[in-house]
Amino acid sequence: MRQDRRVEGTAPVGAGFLSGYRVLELAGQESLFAGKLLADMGAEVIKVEPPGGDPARLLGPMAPGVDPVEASLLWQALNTGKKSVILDLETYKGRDLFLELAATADVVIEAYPPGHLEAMGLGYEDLCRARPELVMASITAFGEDGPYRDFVASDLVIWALSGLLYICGDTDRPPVRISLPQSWLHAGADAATGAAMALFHRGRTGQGQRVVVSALKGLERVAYASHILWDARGRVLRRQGSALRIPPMGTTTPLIWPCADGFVAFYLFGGQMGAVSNPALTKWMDDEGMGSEYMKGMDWPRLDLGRTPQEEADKGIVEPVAAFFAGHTQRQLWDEGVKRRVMVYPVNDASGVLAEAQLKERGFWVRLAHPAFEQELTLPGPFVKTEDGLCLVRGAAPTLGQHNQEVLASLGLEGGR
Amino acid sequence: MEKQTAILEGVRMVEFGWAVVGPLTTSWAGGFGAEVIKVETRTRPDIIRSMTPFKDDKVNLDNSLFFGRENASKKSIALNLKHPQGKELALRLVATADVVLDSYTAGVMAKWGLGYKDLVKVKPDLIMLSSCMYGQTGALRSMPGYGVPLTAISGLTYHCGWPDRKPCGPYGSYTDYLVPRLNLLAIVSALDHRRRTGQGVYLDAAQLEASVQFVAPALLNYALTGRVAQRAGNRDSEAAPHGVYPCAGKDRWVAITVMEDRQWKGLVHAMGSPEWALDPELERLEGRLAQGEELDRRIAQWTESREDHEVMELLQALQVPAGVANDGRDLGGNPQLVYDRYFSRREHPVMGQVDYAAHSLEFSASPQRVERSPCLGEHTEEICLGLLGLGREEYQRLDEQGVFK
Repeated sequence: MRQDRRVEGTAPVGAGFLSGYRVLELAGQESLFAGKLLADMGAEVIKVEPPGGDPARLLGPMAPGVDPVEASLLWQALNTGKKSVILDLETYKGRDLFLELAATADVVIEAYPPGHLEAMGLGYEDLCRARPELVMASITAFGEDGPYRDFVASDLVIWALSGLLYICGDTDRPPVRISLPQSWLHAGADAATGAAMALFHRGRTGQGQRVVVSALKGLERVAYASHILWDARGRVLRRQGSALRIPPMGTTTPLIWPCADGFVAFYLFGGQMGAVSNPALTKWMDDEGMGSEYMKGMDWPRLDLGRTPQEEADKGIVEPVAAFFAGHTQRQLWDEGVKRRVMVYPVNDASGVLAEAQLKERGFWVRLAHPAFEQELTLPGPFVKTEDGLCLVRGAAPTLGQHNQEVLASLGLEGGR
Repeated sequence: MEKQTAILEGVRMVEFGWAVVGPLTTSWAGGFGAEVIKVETRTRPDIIRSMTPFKDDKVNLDNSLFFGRENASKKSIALNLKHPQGKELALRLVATADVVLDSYTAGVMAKWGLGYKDLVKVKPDLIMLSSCMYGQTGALRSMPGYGVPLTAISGLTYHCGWPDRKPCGPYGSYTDYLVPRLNLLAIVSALDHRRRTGQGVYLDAAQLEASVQFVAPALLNYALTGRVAQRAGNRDSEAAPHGVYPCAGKDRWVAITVMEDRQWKGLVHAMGSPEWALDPELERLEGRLAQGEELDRRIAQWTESREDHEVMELLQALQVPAGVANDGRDLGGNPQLVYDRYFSRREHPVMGQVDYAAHSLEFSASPQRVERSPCLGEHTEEICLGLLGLGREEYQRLDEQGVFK
């Protein structure tokens, strides 16, 4: 690879992929995940909060009996490993301090409405006067320019405009989203990636730059089939609910099946796709005295569901399988399914995810002490494993203003407000 | 003028990927200037080359728009890795690379003699990322899988749907589109680390472990309080009204969310300040949450005779978050996506003119460029004669032996 002029971070390279870089993170829930991921990667991430705290500290779910400013579990989950500094950007003094801090930073992540920081005298060009090789990552809903630039957004509205909403949900009801907000997580991951890429580029060329993330484009990517079906065949993709409808006869089979204590996911594939699971499931049902004569007589690789009449598929396969699943728990089906190579999977709720043996076996979960909580906080570990811990969850979320003294002292200033 | 250099220029990635997660990770890198070489074979073609939709319904390995969309901006070399010479050429390719990505089930690369231990012998500072369902260790390490069940196992499916029904889950293989974002983050972070330290690294990227990051607040909530989050349709416990409302036309919808009290005033004004909406109880979130169902019914009555775009524009002008539920036909003409040139129309030798989507990042000094997807083995000869330095006769001899199948 080419090695041009180097610009390094403000601290020595240490134990993380991005150790030695200082990141300032501004504004609200949109940027939380970006900063968290960069902190996992080893960067020093400083969350700059207004007096009273970041607005995301008010987002539920809230822990009962905890100081309200620290009680948001969304906040706790998405701010691990960061530092917190209080700066009032509405005042001259706060803005001056922010500029001084920016002079020591490698990356600024922000998610204000387009033009907002410029109006405060803290736009990219202003910050570059303090730190010419700065990288700035801006998370936007729809882009920093263009016809939707000034549109106001929410998770659901981004789902809608991206095309993802339209294809999710039951056929007889309005389209529906995932109830846990997702758009800012996709956008946050992209912003972290953009920041890391821009640092790599800066290291090779000496050039800093701006990175802009569009949450709209992020979710369009997830709705992959919608645009290409129109492009390829001029057809509009419609939501199908939890069912698979196969042409030419339109025979429909469930994807989500009730079991004794919840739901499992099982695709009834025909042909080669189902050639392992289907005979294995047939034998399993038979072993437990719940076999179906129709299934036992089936030459599975030759099953063409799209050419099987609905009633025949229902009576012969769907009903016996549904009865079998209904008599077993999620864990029974998942554990025994793994052994028998039947691809039946748990539709986990939060308790199910935490119970997954594979995640426990890999030592995935982290437990973090936080001064506002009596119990330890259990959270997902790093999203990628490396031998040297180059990516790690490095500590609990900071309390409001926890690092005022430390960070301002690093600027040669007295302890904060 | 700032110098315009692609951000990953000079970086070579070799992809042993299939389906979506691996190929999309490198496709994005290709758009940012990396030279991406996809190693594939006709003896067992990448499964999405066989997946719908096909251009004009013609089924062949070079005609799937699904494959195309996730494989833009890369080259394809056909190598039969079960042939000893195929493996040999793969090793020579890796020796020239900065990054290797594989997305096979754990153990498959090692079985071919192409595991990390084999590859670092030919490229000591290699960065290798292995992205499989459950990770390289643990009881499930060799379990195959794909995005739809992973969406269920990681807790996303359960939270999508209506509280009075079984979950429906998000469309398709949702996790296939969050995992590549994190894979790319890991790769570029490792590239910068290698630039600074000279060290390569092996990355064990379990797709399950990436996916559960997207439900982390609900997991923490359960672990701490025992409360299990439930799907809520389009409701939100911190905003009301918050829903998807019918509009004029067949299956047309607009999403409207009132996140702040002042946005409620905007919505009331847009609706012409009807008597029912002037109830002082509704000025605060608590009051609106308490009357959620009634609000949804009333708002639907207002929207159902109106065009979706009309409702969106009216509300956005009053700073109320509102958006049309775009369908597949709408997306190509969406004014913002058109303005951003998000879809690039490219001429593909088999598919003809088709659209490719960009990544959601744009750099001010390092433009992204999306190129068309390759046909299977399209660049085999070019790479063998060029990068790998084979003579033409040797190339033909290997071709006759079936190395390039």
